[in-house]
Amino acid sequence: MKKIILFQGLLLAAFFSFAQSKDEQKIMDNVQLLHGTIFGTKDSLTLEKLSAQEVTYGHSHGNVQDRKTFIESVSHNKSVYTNMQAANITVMINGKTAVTRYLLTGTETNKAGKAGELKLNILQVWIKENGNWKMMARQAVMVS
Amino acid sequence: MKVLQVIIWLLLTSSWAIAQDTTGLKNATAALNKGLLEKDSVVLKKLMSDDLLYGHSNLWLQSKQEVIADLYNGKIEYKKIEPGPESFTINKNVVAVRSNTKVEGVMKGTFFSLSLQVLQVWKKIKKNWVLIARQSVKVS
Repeated sequence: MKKIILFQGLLLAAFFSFAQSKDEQKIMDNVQLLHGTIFGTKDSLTLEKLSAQEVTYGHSHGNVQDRKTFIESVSHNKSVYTNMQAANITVMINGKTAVTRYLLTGTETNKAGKAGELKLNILQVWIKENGNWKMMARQAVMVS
Repeated sequence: MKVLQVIIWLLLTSSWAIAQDTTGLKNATAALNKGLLEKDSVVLKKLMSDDLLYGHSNLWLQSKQEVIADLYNGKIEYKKIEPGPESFTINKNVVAVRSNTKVEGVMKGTFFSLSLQVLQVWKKIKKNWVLIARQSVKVS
């Protein structure tokens, strides 16, 4: 009898860790898709899908945008980004919220053709809505 | 007519409920600042999530334990934490709070005075607001 309970316990634990890793994978995919969109395709429909209705998007210089201004400024951004890479991605899941942190590096070439290195530490907070993870807060800090 | 009354009543109570919510949250953000200034480990333990990473503008990251321990081991001591008006971005039980905050203190023996844009994300867990994420940046 004890063995059966232990077995059931193991099954339950396996199920939860499976659910957890599935969420983790979904969030990792969203992180990649999000910066691939912000610094690549600049596609506003994808940004709308990945953002909560209420989102607060903070830049490394301290300026903050809401959903509308964030999406507009990405889709009107004339800079070109190359070699964008996310490293040291950590995902902390707590029920229907998750916190991700990572280092984003790459090269930004502005509309005047001037290139500069980009190195940012990024914090994002995600919430799960109807099975989908959506970004509700973001803050970048410049790595000097 | 009764329907209208019910609708008005619902509108009033729901906006009251939201106002209540931010009041509780304002108390929590104030308690956090007070806890940091007064090195109140009991209050700080209650207000922070166990897996919190507390991010500073100089890229320093502290765990929950470190936020408390570093107040006592000489790494950081807060002298002043003055938040400006707070803005709230509400998604049900998860709220992002932002404010421009003046922070003064001593870090490893050196005085600092900073103007920061602070992002805090709070989650309501069992009727208590708990800090789940924090990152500040220097305002340039």
